[in-house]
Amino acid sequence: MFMQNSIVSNIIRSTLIKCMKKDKKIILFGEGIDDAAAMFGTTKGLTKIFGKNRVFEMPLSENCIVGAAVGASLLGDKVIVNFQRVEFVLLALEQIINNAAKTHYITNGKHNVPIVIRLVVGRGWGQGPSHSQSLESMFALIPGLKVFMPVFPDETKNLLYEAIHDPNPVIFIENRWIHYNYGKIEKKFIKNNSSCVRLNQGKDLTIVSSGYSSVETLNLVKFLKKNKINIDFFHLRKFKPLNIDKIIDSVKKTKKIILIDNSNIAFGIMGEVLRQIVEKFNKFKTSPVVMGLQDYPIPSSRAFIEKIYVNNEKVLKKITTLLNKENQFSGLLKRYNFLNENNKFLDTPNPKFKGPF
Amino acid sequence: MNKNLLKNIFLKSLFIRRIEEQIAKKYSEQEMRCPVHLSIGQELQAVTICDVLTKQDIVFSNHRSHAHYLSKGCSPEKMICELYGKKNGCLNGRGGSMHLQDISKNFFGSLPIVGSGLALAAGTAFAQKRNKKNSISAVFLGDGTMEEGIVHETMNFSSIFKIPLLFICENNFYSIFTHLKDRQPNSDMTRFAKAHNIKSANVNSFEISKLINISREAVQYVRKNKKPFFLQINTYRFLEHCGPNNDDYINYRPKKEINFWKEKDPLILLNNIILKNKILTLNNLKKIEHDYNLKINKIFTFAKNSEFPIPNEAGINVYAK
Repeated sequence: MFMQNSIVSNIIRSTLIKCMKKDKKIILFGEGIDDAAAMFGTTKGLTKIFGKNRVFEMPLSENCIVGAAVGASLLGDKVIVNFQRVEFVLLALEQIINNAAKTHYITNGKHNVPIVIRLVVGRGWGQGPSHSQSLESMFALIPGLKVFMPVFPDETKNLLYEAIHDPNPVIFIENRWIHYNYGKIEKKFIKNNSSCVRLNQGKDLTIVSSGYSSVETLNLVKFLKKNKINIDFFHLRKFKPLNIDKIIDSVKKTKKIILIDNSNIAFGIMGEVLRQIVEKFNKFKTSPVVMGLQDYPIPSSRAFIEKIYVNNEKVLKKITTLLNKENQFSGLLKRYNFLNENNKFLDTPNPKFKGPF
Repeated sequence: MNKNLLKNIFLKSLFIRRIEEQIAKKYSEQEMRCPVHLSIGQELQAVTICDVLTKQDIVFSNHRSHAHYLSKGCSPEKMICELYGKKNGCLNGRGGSMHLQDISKNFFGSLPIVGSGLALAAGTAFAQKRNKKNSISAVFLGDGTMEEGIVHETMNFSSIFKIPLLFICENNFYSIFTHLKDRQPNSDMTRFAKAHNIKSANVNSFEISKLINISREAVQYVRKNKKPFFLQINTYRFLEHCGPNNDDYINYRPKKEINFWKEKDPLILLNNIILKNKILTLNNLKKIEHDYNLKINKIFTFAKNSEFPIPNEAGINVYAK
């Protein structure tokens, strides 16, 4: 059963409200919650609904915020911690890595740390070197953390619901652009979401992607389907725990794979996915391809955007090469661009977006 | 001073001193294979503070945590087993000396990254207040911690949110080999508390009756007002920063300074008070030392003979289910 079209920021907000109404142990604090911007609207009015004892603004002290969340969770509170940028939480890595991630292990299961750390990734509009990084692989390195990164409306709802009910610390990464997306959501809330999901079935080639790249690639995959190129397309949304059995089964059939990392290629999530595939299957017909960001920071000017990010044109080029259909590339690209006039600006989520965040 | 109180503090401190000395003695056998930061010289203040805390009060400590752990009433057997890396250690061999913990005694643990425990203690204090508990949280830190950013973060938070958190700063003047004067412009750490509108006090570990009174007042203040308090205790470690030995041959600590503090060893001062006031006789003391010796030997034999954890269990309890 589908609810009507909603904006994702509101989907997040209503999920928070639903969970907090049901469980009085859930509290929510961090930076930019009880203010005019309200975390892209996701926490708007929550202080009014639940009171200052449960939803409140914290001083600008990231390490203390996360440590306090861990401490409160040791006494049975469930804490949702909010930061507007993933980079802000770099100041809290000590608490995340040493305490949040390890407490359950060190105590041999006596203490749990049920916290959700919401982090926003800020791609586009010139956010630049320290406001638009995608650091999911850094968190995924740490045993004891779970790492979720949803992008589609319904999975955002479900993964947030799952994260809040998880007895472990969950790093919940939201791409800022998803907050502006609209989508239909199902009424049902799901706790056990799979690590990856197949968004299109095909036998020609396997593609795996994550984050906002999945939103963009899905569009291309749908277009190619109409043009008789059938991609087995997987969207990866939980990096830890990671389960890619479905992807391995797919590669065994297609024997060709492109992996699109939302972040840097080097030492990235997709490199790890490929490692796990290769341990079980290595009879590729064409060499596996990993796409993603190059090994340098992200500059601010929009002049760099085409160069920096993976876009549909680059992906299409790789697809046609791997499928020995290079001669179809320019024709397909021309048609795709004609149909997707609105998507050509890579530094905004949609043409209506006017900045500044 | 209440004679029973003095006797109680003395006996607990003496036991900690003797067990620490035994760790130092046995360390060279290379069976306790983890770094140890011994509390010798700093026992009395730990006992004094924990004596005024209730069982429900939560304590966090740091890398030098043996005295805090034992003062909170946690098991010495489990501590020594943990140092030997045994299965029946307080963390089943997962933590070692730097991660002691006993949740049943509300000793929530030693956090060996300097300053790491402060924010956790702020979190438990916040939850205690939010959930209308009468208990408080206490965190032991050192002079080196005062140089960490998290001190400012936690003090600011605890002051603004009015949470029942007791900061106990044990200033032993050295961050490993570096003296306080080379690290901070002033040895009075209460300046940080004052800047955050937090009530504070500064006392020397050898001023025993003052220490006892201030500890009680501090804990009462935190509990009654649901507000933080910062207590600085100036003290001295008698052995090296980490390990079982005396490292004074390196000469990083002036002889005069060492002698000053050793002459004011709080345990010996209290020992003298106990004898002078006939709280215990010399014969009583001899008997106590004899009993402690037996008890401690038994603990070490028990730990040595205990089983190691099962290697295949290294991967369990990474995630809660």
